[in-house]
Amino acid sequence: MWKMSIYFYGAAFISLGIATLLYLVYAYGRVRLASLVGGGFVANSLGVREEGFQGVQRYATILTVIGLVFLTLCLVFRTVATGHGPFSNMYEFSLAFAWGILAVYLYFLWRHNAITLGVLAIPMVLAMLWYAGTLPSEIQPLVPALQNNLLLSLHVSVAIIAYGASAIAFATAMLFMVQVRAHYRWLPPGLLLEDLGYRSVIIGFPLLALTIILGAVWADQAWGRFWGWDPKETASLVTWLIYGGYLHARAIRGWRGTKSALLLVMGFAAVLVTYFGNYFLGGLHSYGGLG
Amino acid sequence: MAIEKQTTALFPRAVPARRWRRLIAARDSFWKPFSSVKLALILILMLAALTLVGTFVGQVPNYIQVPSAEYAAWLAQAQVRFGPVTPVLDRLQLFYVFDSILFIGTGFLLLLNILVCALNRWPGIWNSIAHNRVRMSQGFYTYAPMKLTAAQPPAQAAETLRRVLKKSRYRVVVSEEAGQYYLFCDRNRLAPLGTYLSHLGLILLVLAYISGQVMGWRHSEFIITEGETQEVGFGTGLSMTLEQFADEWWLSGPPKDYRSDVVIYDNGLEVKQGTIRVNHPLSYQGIRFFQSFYGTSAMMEVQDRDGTVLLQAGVPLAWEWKDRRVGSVSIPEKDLVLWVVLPQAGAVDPLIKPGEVRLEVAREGSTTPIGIVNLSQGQPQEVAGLTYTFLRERPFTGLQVARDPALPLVWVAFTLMTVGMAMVFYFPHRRLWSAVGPRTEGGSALSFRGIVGKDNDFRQEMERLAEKAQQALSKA
Repeated sequence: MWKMSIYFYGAAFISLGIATLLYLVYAYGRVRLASLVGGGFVANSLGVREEGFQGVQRYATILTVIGLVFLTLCLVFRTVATGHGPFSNMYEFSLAFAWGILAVYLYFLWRHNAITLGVLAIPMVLAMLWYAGTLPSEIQPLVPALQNNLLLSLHVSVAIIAYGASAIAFATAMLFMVQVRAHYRWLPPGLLLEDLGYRSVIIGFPLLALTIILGAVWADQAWGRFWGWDPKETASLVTWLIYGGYLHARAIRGWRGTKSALLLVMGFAAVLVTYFGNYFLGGLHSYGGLG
Repeated sequence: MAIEKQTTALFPRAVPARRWRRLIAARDSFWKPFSSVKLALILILMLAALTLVGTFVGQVPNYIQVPSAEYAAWLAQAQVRFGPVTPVLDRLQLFYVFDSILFIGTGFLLLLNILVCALNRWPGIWNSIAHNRVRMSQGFYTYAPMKLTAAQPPAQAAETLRRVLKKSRYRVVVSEEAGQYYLFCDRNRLAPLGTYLSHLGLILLVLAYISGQVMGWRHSEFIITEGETQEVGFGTGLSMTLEQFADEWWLSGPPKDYRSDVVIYDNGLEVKQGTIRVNHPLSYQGIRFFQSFYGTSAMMEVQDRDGTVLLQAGVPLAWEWKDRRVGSVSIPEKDLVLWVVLPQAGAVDPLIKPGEVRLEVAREGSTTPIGIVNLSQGQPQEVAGLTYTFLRERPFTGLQVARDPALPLVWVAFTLMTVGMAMVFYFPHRRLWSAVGPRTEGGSALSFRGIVGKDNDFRQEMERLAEKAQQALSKA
């Protein structure tokens, strides 16, 4: 089972690697097309429907979906092999994080035809998978603190979707900031990107809250207090506050746009700090660091 | 023609918005600044910044009081890391940021801000729930983003549209004026109240946390040596005996399980037996016992010259100092403190041989020992007129004992926050207005405009509904 999981990891890596290349070709194609067609946006939706790029777009999407299937199988086999959700060390977290970004991206692709986001999102997934590949993948038994299958699975699985949504929000913010400065015709309109950023936050923000709440329920059971200002707890609070700030900022005149996008970038930076915090923040979550 | 005229008011009376505002706000100098979302944003970002400081700047441990000699010593150590900035950080209370005036003050202002904003927004929110206009201005429909045409006359088209929307689980209100039909439809109309639930949950959470700190208590290092009984304290009348402590390890090295088999006594009467494990606390009358740490106790016996036993107890070696385990115990009647030192398990110590403990005896409050001896197991030795024997090693368990009467409030707060956020973000209030009127060339023209939550973007849902309506109209 463990070996199967490794094979599917490899398969996911390869398919998403090729998908990344196709997304780059796709982006290049859009730039070329924009220079050919002149004024106006290349497409009125986020997808490009023009002749010549449909193939690249279709294959990139198919490979992304195949990547998700492989990665899901990798996590399923890992779960069967370990007897618990794939959330107990940095190798497993990283695979799960990659899965989260992929799942949220595909949701946006399905719901909003947001294929341009893939140009940033899929390389992020690939980077996360590469990072997972550098970590030890051997199965280690759970230390007593993690022996709570239900809360471990709930707490971390909610977190990875929230983190995935945060990564997508980051991608929209980066594209938005490029767009408002350069007004590239090959990029989707700023308003659409802004809207997509908001939509990803409204998926991620309540889930981030739920992650903290489930963590609090677990902390109460394991350590006898629901909140103890542990560095990982406070880092997740910072993340939540930044996204809370973002949601309020959108209600203020003059804050929609670049300032809000900056908050999304800060929010994702905070997610990364929280995520990698196991290494350098210490505290009660440090058992998840290596291993 | 099945359309009947309905009133839009689902509740008997509209909220008198003006009176509300006059009553609450009076636009005084206090109210206005606190009703600003901008202030909320500034306060939220300030809290985020302070929390970030608390995450990265090493915080003074809970057991060190501020100010105290221990804090001064801790600060001297912090100086090594933070250099000349240390006094500034200390002055800003950033070494204990979550108890700082800055953090608590900002949090308090934010709560005030939430309350004022909540009250201010109430009339608008209530009106959007209960008192929506069915007919909007003509311009509203003229510039509506979605338009359809139908072969049927307006009455029939409006009825078809009403049925389609009803089927899509919209509440539909229709009114007719001079041959024009106006539809107001909405879904999840209570969703705006979710913002109240989530903010109320947040306020409740803060109150519950403060109440827990004030009314509850916590014993972070409740240590019992195997076979011994300890008072819980805090006026509970409880005591606990550790029958057995066991630790298990996986073959590959990591810990598998820590288990404390205990008996609880209430005023001397046995009331509960149980096992405490990580993630599985033991509870008695709202007091909960959590497995926290473990270690070794040195069983010591102290006799005076008459052979009277002054002490026979385990001394938990719960501290670590230079690769050694250290514990202490007092003998108040002799004004003495015993320090017992043992090497770490498996370590070779030049001062302490295997099977020995090092004993340092000092006067209470003094750091200079009056006698230092190495004790071999079972061999008594005399120091300053008393006989000391190291009997054997025994495990001890370290528990956390906590009572938090406000805990149920915390769960209520969490539930309110979760439900509130789900209502606002996942089931937002969708409102749709439509006008159906006759076309000069026959049939009718339909226009739609929708609002979801606070945003004007209802595109996808409207496209879906328009498609359904178009199909139904074509069939009819």
